[in-house]
Amino acid sequence: MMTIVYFLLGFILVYFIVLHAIYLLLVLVGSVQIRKYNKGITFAEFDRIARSNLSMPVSIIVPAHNESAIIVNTAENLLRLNYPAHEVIVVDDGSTDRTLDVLIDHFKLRRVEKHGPKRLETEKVKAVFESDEHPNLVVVTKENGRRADAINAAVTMARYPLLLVTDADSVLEPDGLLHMARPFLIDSRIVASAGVVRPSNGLILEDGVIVQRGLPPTMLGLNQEVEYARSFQWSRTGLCRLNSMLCISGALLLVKKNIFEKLGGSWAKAITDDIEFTIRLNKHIFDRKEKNGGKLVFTPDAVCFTEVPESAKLYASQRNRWQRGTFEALFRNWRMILNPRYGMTGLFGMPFFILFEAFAPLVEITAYILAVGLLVAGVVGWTEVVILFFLAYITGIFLSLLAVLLTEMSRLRTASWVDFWKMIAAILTDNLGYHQWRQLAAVVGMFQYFLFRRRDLGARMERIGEGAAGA
Amino acid sequence: MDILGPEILRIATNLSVLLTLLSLLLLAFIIVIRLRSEWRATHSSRYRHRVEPLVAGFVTGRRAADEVAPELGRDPDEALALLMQVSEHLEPSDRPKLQPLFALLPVKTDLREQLKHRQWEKRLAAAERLGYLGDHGTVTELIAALKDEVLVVRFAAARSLVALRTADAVDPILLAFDVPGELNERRTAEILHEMGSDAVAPLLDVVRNPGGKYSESVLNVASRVLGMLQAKEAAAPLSALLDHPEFRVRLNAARSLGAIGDRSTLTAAAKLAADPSWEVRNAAVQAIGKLHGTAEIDRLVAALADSAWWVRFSAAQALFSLGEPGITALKTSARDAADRYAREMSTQVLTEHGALPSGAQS
Repeated sequence: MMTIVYFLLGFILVYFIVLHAIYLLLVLVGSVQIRKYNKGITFAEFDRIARSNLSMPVSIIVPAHNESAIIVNTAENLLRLNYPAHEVIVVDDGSTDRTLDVLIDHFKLRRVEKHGPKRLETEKVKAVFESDEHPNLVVVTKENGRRADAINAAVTMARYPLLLVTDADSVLEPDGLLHMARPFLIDSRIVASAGVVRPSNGLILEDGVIVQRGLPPTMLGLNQEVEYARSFQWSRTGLCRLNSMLCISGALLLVKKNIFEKLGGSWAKAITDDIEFTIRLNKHIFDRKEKNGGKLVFTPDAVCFTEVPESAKLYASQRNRWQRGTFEALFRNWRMILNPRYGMTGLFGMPFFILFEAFAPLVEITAYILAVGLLVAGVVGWTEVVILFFLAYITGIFLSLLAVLLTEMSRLRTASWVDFWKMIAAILTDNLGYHQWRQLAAVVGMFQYFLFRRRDLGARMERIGEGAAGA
Repeated sequence: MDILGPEILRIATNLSVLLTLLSLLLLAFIIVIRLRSEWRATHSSRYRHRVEPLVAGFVTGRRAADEVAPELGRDPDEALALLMQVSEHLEPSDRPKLQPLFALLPVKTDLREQLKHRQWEKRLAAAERLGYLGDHGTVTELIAALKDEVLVVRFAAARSLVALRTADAVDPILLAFDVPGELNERRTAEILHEMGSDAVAPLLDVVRNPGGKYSESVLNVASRVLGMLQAKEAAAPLSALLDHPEFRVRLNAARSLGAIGDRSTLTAAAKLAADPSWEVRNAAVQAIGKLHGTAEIDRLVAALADSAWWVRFSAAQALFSLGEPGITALKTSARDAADRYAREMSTQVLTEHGALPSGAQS
């Protein structure tokens, strides 16, 4: 028995050391990349992109299922983006609320006959609408499928060579699309670009335009602000440089349409279609045998705000789904794991993702259980447990502060000193229950995925509604 | 206690103390960074608030350069950034008005040297700033910078040369970006387009000598810019390129002829509606629409049944743009065309434009 305990303890210690060593590496690589990116931006470059007739036009895709409370604001926000040529395609994915009606009423839509250049297999499209007031708005209504199915239906209608996939609860900064598209205008090898995602709870919008930035009002929301800052500020930038960015958030992905179609679109049955698609995209790009070529980029100054759950129940449900989706996506592409055919992606990215992302919650929860067990059995004392947990706690704080440092050096820095200290407070409290709660939800999700073969999408987010954050 | 061992606990304790200290230092550093950013933002905002009206007054002729000079000298870096920003917001024809103010800034010599700096970031900054300073004495250095190993530096140098309106630089710019790929062609075209009519003569030389020293990529850029500038004198040489063996050259020529709008080129452009490349056919039907080619309606109707969606779409849009005769042809096609895709596309474009009653209305 003690041999197993020794083995587990040793494994957890090594795991902890390796994980944080990789995190530190990602911080270093990420900060170098961000500096390089910022230095490469020339004066008035974004103004020129906004003015040019030769900037590549973009089709923005917004899948929406029962989003009547927020969809008008989202569409307004996207229509007002500062970009020379873009269309917005909203897909009403079989909503049972008034999503389609509010769109028809607000934008004075009329039904049109419309067929796109290429047809991906999707659930049946019932009708297509356009607006005389907004010639670049298209609304598609279809039978209910999953998010991926709605995206595929929109791609069928898309006319432009770049696709921006976002969520119905997402809000982009007015210049966000310019920042996302810039890499495509510089380097023809780029096939997809990912941007930064931040919580929208706390934003104030007027007619779809951000008029004031703020932080989420609840502690749970604030902790997610810190979590997103860590994840996007250095983690993705570093992983991208190492050809290992295996998750591009579905809230902000810009991809070349021909590549999207070549890959057969999003996988309609996916629990988390964004992770699954990103892994397939990596597979396509880094396959040394096929030599398709291409590059993925992370754009550290393109920002999209998305609504995060502020109730513990919805938060747990979201993490449960993400965890199940992660496993599903990894197993669907298991041949990439440790496969030299995919270069760094196969040899580092996939093992890192499976060991330190997918299994991290399990290892952590096991550590807690083990600690309690050993404490109860009297094998270890309080002092030892406190020292080890404090080490984990302070390491987390240090890494989060590094994310804040990178944030403060960018234009994403907190708007006021009050918000700054709120962020610091969230960092100090994150590991005092919130972090453990999301890890527990992930472990539950993992067991449900393996033992009960759970593949549904879980509970739906409750929207805050018009005018406020996330709307 | 034994299970972990005293060594591990000692290391953990020391590490915890170290990380606590590092975290406190990091927090202090973040606060300093934040304070410095705030100070910079306030300083910049105050400076701009004070100097911007003076610069605006100078541009409109209400103030002399002497009145603005002391403020510019107080913070040359901030002044340069401000003048560059003001310059970007002016019409290109008004930008030379700022030159006397740029000339007052004591940064030119530094920038010339900086163009040879070993760090590409410095070279980039120098290359882009020199264009705003408006000193034609820097043209030689900027042309040399077109051979920089870093692409963005080359592009910045090209933009600066264009800002200086140096027609002699057109040729070196074309040759500096003579790399295959549509993207580079687009970016080069974008830059040369900013030069305006000054670029027309050297670009005409390129399209008139397609077999000379210029590659097809250069030919594409020249064609494209002439189209964007709507240079009427380019219509004849561009028509001659419609028979070029390379499809991208034909494509750009057809596209530019449509943009120039010289109706005498209609027949030549319309012939490309039967080109083997769908992209060329697409550009050709678009050109027919832009050239108001009512004489080519039959060709457009035939293109409604093209195998490529984009050609069918552009043909339907071109028919619609021709007015009554085109719309009638579209309506006939929507009703009677033998080809299902032709019917579908005709209906689509007619309903999009509200020329055909749609199904369920809101």
